[in-house]
Amino acid sequence: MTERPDRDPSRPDREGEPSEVVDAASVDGAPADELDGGDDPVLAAAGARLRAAAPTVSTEAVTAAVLRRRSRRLGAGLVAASVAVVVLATALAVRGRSTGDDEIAAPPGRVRVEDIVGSLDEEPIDPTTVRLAASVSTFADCDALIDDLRRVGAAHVGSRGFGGYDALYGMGYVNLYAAASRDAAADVDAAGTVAAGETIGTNVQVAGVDELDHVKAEGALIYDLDRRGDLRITGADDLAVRSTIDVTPGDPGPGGDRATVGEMLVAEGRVVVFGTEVETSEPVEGDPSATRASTSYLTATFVDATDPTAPEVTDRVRIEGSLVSARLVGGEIRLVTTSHLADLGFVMPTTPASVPIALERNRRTVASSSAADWIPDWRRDGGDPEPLVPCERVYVPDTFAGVAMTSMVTFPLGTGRFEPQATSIVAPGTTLYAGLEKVAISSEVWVDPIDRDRLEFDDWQTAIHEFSFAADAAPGYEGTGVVDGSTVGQFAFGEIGDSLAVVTTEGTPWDQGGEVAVDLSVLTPDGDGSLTAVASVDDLAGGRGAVAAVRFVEGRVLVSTGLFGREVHVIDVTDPAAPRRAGSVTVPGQIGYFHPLPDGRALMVGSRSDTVGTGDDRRSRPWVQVHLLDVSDADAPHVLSTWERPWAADAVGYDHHAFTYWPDRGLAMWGVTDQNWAAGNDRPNHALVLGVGDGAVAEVAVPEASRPNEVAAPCPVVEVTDPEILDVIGRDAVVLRCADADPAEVEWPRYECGSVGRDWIDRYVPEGERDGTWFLCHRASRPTVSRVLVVAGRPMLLTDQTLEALDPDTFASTAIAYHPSPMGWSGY
Amino acid sequence: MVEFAELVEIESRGLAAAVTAIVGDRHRAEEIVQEAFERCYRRWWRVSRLDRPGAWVRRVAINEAISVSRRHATELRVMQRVGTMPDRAPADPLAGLDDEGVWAAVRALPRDQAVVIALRYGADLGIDDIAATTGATPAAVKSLLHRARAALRRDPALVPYVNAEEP
Repeated sequence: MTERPDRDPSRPDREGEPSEVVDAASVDGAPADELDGGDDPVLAAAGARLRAAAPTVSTEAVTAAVLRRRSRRLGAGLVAASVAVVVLATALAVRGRSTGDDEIAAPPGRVRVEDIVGSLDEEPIDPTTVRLAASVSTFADCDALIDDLRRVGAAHVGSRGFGGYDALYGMGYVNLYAAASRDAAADVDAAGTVAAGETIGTNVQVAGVDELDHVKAEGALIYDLDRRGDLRITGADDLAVRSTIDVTPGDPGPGGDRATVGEMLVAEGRVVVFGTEVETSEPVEGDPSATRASTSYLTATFVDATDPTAPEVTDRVRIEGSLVSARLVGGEIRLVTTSHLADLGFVMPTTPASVPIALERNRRTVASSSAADWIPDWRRDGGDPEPLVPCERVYVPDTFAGVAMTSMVTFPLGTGRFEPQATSIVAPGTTLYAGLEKVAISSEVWVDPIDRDRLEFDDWQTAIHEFSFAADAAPGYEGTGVVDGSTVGQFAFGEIGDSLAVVTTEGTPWDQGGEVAVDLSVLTPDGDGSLTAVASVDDLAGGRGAVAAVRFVEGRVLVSTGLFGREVHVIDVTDPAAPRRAGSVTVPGQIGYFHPLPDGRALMVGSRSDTVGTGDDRRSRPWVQVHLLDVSDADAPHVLSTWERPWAADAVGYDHHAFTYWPDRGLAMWGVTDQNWAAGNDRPNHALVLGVGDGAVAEVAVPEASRPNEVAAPCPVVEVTDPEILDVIGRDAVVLRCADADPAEVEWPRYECGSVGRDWIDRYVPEGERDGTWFLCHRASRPTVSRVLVVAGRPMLLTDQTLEALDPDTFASTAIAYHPSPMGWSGY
Repeated sequence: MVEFAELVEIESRGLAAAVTAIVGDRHRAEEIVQEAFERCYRRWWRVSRLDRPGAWVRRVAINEAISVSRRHATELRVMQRVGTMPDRAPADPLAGLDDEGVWAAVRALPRDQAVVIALRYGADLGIDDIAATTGATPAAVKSLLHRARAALRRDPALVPYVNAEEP
């Protein structure tokens, strides 16, 4: 706090004393003792009298005004009946319902439900009338925060509560963009260019910021997850599993296969695995619908695998909410979660007449909610819940953009324990940018999914809230800006100079038409809570938007637009203060992904299709298409070379982790699936290995993903001859009968097996032969490549069934191991 | 870490006086100071972690006060006021003015000088705090204070009055 000598306003009035007259000669030679109190008695005395008579400002008046102003922003109608709330820790408190703006109603956290509900309009706030404000508020304590949340929440809640928070909108658009500082990127480059025996990490958007994936390679080890929820550590030299360790979040409890693990980050043998756990409440007694509320949690399991043969779980926590994304920057995890308020206990109207009753009930529910209802908790196994974020670090946008709370959480990976520091914002995290020093979240006016088709939104806008990271501190708020339109995914964010930049398209996120404007905005914090658009390029596609892919590369932003992504536009950002629309190039297909290459080049991975055959044989033929683009002259971009493969499809357009670039060899590698179903259903899938370094795209190899080696069945095979049974299970099915002691599932290379239900056995198996666990197995489809890894200098294919090592020169198969991964990661 | 209520307690009265000195209107000053604290409260998590939260809120208020005072032609007022006060005879021309006259003369100074005078005498701040508030160096603040005080006594607007009182 400011140090200041105590200068009492009532100090003796010196007006009568001789004045010190400052003559011109002494003006420039400031005497050192000039502030001893007698430097100007006339002014000092006048100042003292001014202070004595000065208007007083009280804490209560300030905090009341802040709340009042926020209420006003919520919409007209609300103001007239609005109730002033005052932070007042005295007994003055309850004076009953107030009618004017300036009256005291109750202390914070104890505002009467009646006062809140009574102050609301008849209808919930119409989302089409909400205008985003580029400002946020924080509150000094939980009482002030909850007062505010109750008030804005009650003004927005509808007769069905806050509406369904469906996965499509609530989470589906959420992306995390990450950028590293130039220093961090440089470190990685220096460490990453090991000529021999190098290990290439996950393909990330920006070097130096690692992204979540289901497989990680570090040193000569591969970390991934098996089908049982175990972390599996495998040596790249012999493809042998060094160890497995259960990383599922604790005992799933009765009926529970609901805990799953998905993705991880690894640094120096320290692993954190994120998963989800759904807790379903007991049915409400007497409720004939037997409706069960479910709450989903994000789980984090920490493993110390510094000894890869003996990994240990060092911590397990669960966090209310779900994972948006996470990044690893310099040994520190940046985790972003969202949580929502599904469990406040809303009611739904059953008849038109019950709509107002339900609305009233839901408003009361929100108006009496507690801070704990809004603030996400986290809990260590066996421990008590703790709030993830303190109330004073909850930011509330002045426009209530949604009922979700998005939290930015940071903790070191090396300690092996969850030690979070967090900052939250009351907004659904629509898109997120996370960098070494900053995180930005975009949020939009929240619209109940049920209303999205019905309501018309003119001038849809997106608010972008920027947060900063500093060492050993919770993320701090930098400012908020408002841009037109919607953001278009992870790669729509980037940095130009030191500023955040974002590519947006006109319209709402759930209705992206084909013919819209596409803009680039550069946003800089003004130091006073706002992000100002310091530069922009408007409508870069001439009103013919529909962004297919975006990438920020050195000095350029590449945007592919058009309904089929046929135009690639170049924005020249070599002068960060003046980005400009430069040239464009037309390509014969859709671009799904841009990968930056040295020398002003970029690889464009896309697709096209044509038709073959005639009559009944007429079929659509998909191609994977790859272009090498030269953007060294921003005004004259041109395609140097194109390579394509028929009857193939890939996942790179929506999963950039599927793509691997080997810088030293100038190789681009990723998996493709065979699409020529008519040619037979047992055709192998492949990986592409393309040379992209010499001004042309050249095929180096197209290695096939081999089947795992055939092994004998793990349990006795039961001969099935009954034609009725064979009709049911299929002619090529194999039935296994394992002893009771065997596990509940079997893994058999080249087959997919599932246990057979007891009722089926009772029906088809004669009495006396029914013991044991029965499995029904079918031939597995061909392995599909989910990742091309380079570990200790060895390229290898990770498929849903195998880990296959390739020769680094010929890319011929040198070794293969049965290595089943959870299903669904390569299902493209 | 300072509490918000504590900051209001410590800063509000002096700041209100300084802002009054700059804008010349007590009610307007009250609004400005109140708004400055509101902004401070809305950003409290951040402001409270600054070395000098007081300087932050003062700067917000003073900036607003300056922009308000730009909209007023206060110079005219001091001319008029001085012209109508012919009958007292102190050696210091300022001492011959009532308080309103003193502050009107202050408002007639160049903006940066008026601000340092308002903070020094209105808010009763030391050189360091004034420097932290205005972003100037302590040396520059001292120099401004000197020039401001000298200018007040050489104010052409005050000269006719002083001359009239000489024997």
